[in-house]
Amino acid sequence: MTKANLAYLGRRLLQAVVVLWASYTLTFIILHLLPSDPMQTILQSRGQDDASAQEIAALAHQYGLDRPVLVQYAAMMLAALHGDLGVSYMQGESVSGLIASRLGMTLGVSLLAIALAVVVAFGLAFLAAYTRHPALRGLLGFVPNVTISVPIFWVGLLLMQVFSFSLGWLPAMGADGWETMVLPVVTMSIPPAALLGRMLMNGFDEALASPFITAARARGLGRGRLVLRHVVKNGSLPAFTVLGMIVGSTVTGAIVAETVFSRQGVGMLIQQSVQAQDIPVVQGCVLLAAAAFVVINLAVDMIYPVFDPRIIVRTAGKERS
Amino acid sequence: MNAANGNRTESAGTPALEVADVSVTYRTKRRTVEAVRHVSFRADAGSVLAIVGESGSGKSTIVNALLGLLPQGTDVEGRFLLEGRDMTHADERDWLSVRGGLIGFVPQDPQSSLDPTMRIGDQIAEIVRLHRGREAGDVRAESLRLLAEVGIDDPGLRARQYPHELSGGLKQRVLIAQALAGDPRIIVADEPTSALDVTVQKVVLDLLASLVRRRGITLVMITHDLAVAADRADRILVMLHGEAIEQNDTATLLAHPSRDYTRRLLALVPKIDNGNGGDGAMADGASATDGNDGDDERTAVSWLDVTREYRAAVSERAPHGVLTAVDHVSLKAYRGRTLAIVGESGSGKSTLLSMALALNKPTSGAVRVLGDDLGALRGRALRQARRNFQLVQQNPFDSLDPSLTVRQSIEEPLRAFGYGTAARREVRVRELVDRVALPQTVLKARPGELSGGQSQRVAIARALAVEPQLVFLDEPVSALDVSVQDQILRLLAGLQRDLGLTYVFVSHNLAVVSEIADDVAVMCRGRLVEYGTVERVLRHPAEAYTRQLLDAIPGRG
Amino acid sequence: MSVAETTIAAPRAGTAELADPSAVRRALRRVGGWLHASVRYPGTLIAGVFVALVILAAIRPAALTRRDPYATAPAKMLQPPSAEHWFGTDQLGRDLYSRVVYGAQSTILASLVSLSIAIAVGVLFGVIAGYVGGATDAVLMRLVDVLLSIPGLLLSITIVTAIGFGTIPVAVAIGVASIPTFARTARAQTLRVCSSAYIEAAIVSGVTPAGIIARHVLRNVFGPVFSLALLEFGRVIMAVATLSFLGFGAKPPAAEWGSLINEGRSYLMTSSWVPLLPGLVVVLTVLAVTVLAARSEKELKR
Repeated sequence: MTKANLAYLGRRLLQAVVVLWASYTLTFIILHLLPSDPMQTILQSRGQDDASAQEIAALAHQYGLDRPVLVQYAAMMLAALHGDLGVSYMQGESVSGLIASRLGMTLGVSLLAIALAVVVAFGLAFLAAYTRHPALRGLLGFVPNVTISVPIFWVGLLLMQVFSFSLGWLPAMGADGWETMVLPVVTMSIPPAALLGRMLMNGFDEALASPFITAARARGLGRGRLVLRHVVKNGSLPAFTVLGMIVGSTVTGAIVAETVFSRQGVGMLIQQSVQAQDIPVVQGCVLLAAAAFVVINLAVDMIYPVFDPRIIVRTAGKERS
Repeated sequence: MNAANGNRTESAGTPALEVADVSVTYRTKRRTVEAVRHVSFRADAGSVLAIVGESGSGKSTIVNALLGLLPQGTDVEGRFLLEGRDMTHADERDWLSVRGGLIGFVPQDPQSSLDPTMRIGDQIAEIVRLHRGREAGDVRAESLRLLAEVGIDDPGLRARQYPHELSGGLKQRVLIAQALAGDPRIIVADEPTSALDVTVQKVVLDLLASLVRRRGITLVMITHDLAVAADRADRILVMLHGEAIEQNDTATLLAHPSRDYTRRLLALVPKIDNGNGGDGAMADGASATDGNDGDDERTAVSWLDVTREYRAAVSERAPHGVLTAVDHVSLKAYRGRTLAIVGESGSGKSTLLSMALALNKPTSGAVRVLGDDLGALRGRALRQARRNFQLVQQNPFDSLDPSLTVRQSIEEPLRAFGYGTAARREVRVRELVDRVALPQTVLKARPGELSGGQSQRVAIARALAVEPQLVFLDEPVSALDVSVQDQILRLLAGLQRDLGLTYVFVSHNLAVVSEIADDVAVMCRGRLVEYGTVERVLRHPAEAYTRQLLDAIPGRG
Repeated sequence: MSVAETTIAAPRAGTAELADPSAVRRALRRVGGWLHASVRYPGTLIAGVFVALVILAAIRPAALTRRDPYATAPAKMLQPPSAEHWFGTDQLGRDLYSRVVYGAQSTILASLVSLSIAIAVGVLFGVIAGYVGGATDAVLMRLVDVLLSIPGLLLSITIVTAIGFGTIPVAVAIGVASIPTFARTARAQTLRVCSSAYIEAAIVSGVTPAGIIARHVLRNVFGPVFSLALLEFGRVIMAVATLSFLGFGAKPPAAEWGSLINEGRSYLMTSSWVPLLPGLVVVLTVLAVTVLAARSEKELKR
């Protein structure tokens, strides 16, 4: 690996750490500094509206809320680095434990959804670039733009109505068996597919119109080779920037889909915790999502130079001046 | 000027390229455009044909037609044949068999004509494999051979590099190598050198000429520069508004042009021998700094041992991460005269200018404009000082705010300097528009509605608004069509006479400079290489670099 | 791009030049352009009409329905759509159509508040960062980037956890999360404008920095920011509906779109219109706004 490559990776790694720290700090500020009375929140979560002053003090101590803010900040950060995400207000269970028990289900559906989205998006974009019929291309281009505007809670409900209740092909709720995964996977794959599809189509369009493609055509490269080798490679580049966002929208998608399809995953956990204002759980889940976001972005940063060697030089120059 | 070259065989039988009464019409949803009308020409095997025309002449359409790259829905009438094959109504499959193998293409812009994500060697290999077979060893060997043939040093190393690691000139050579990869009989080169510095231009054109000679290829060169055509082509075809208005072998066309437009183009081919300067009153022999640091009333601008350094990525030009854009330059511009600062890209000429405009501070040394030390002025005082010197920029389409009308743009300096009442400003604006020979109706227009020449006139009007004594011009005509360049230069010369202006003029084009400058300073890589009056420097250049620049100018032969 | 030298129209003889008559003419031309576009592009016209109806519902719901969205009638519960009840009735016998109409108010209000917050803060940060550059740019943009460290709607959800539920909290939460998009666009546009030759020309012409920002930067940044705002409007509407669907919006019996759909979920199997029809309205609104945004972007680019 050349020195420039190592420097690039080093910079990106540093950036990733900083972003992670920023997400923790931001979460802390919002969840611990904004609410007026955390004790009230805890009591409400537990349904203990009237508690004696002693009980309140005891609870405060138990949750470490009687310490100065900065100490809480540092302590929680250290704990998080060790995997201890605190204790739930509502049930007093370990947050990490709560998340861990539900992570598998959410991860499975999410990964499948993203995979489906990538396949569909690439398929659409490739077809649109390869075809010679402008009508078909227009139609294909229409699809992502429409689906981006459709909220997935509605799509989920619609799919449930059609495929579960009307046609009876798939179960509406529950979590056993692969049949229960189909509808959630399809529902969750729509936003990333739409986003990726649009980026890829635009990318391919721009690549097709660029001078080096015209020059390559002039040298005798046929449509197939041209599209595959040059257009796909160059046209996919802008879509890389969006991969991180895909993770973000998938988390939201998981929350909505699990609510609609009644699946006890991390998404449903978030929804219930927010409803109950169970701050430690919300914080833990958000941190987890942020960490996933950072990791994905880092992975993209590592792979990107393989596709576009210019990025190493470009960012080096920028940082220097 | 080249006449027929002895090495080539005279054509006997089928010409390599024949275009017979071809008309091309684009049909879009909104309108139809007749891009090319009844054009006929031929090119004999092994000859060089130049198609000369400005933007909108239809030359790009001809190129696309010859390569089968016209968009769908385009009507083509007439016939055109490549080595006897009628390709007028060929379909994509026919074209695939012809492109690269029979007719090759060298595109215009080396910056954007290569796939940035693929190594150079692979990009050439791709074409070789396509046309000449698939044996891996052969393909690699052939790619390297082609790179060597176009004069690229260390082909092995270059083949492993990516396009962004190569200079413009090297990239152009790669493009030529790709064109040769299919071993074509005809090559179409679209403005093969307009994006390059003049010294690199010459080298690339020489390369093309030698390749064509050696391989007996028929070369069709598209260019807007008649001088280049005059130097390199056997036959010239002049296009205007989609029509082929004149064609002849080079010698005849240059000696006896039959159309007015051709005559106009010819008149614009720079002749360095007459160093027409401006109307300077200074005697010959003034030196760059006149030996004293003090300015007298004759001095408009003085750069005193000025240096400008930038931090940059370590490279050949910037060892230790410091780029020296201007290196200890001392130079003076005298009142009433026109100083031209010439150099290629990276010479530092624009940096010198921006320092004199107080847009940039020298790392060391001082710049004095009309007696004021610019480094010492700040804020309000600096703004006040600006009243005396104004600027005309290179790109006429970017130098005017697109959201303002012409009136508002010209009025801006008047408002900024608190020039009288609104009524007085209006009078002044109208006066300025007259001076630059534009109709009063232009005041309501927005920059997007104007042509390049009109926009530049507006920029000049704006520069003159507050009655400056000194006008800086940064490549004021290089972005304009050749026929418009002359008008603007004449306007500038006239204004200098009428208003007693001093000009400091930056350009990369020695030919243009010889038309209106009195004194010229030649810059190379941040250093001042040579200085003197235009007659002296251009006729008896003392430095090797100046001689190199002069030699590279096409059309001097 | 450029026209021949002769195509600038001749002036009418003897007219005194008004302050800027071309502004009026240009405005008229633009309205004419819009009308022309709506005729040529029927999709845009339909979208425009739909959005107008939604806005009407938000401003004056009584204009679109005469029924009371809160009037319960248990006897008429869960009736399918009919001539009398266009969207049918919900589980408490309320007319679903009028609930949707009244629900437009909170959704549109929340969306507008979000956009305002995002634009006000985002453009301020972005223009200053782009114009001043240097350390200021770095600091401002780092602050904005912090907002991006929590992905997607999660930031809004986090904020809502802290400040409570309801229409305005949702609006604030989504507004804050939308700041980075506007900040980045405003900054990018400011950088583009500042690197243009005409800014250099303005400096040389003696214009003060304040004048440059006011006269050149803001005017040229406005267009792209406006286009972005239109596009974001659709996305914001969807976000508002999503948060309210998840239960973080206004409490029942408020007729917010998202919560309507959430409440109706339990009746999907038997009376699918209860959740699906309001959902359809959300879909159509977002689609219509997006169509309008795309069309206006194309027109502005010309």
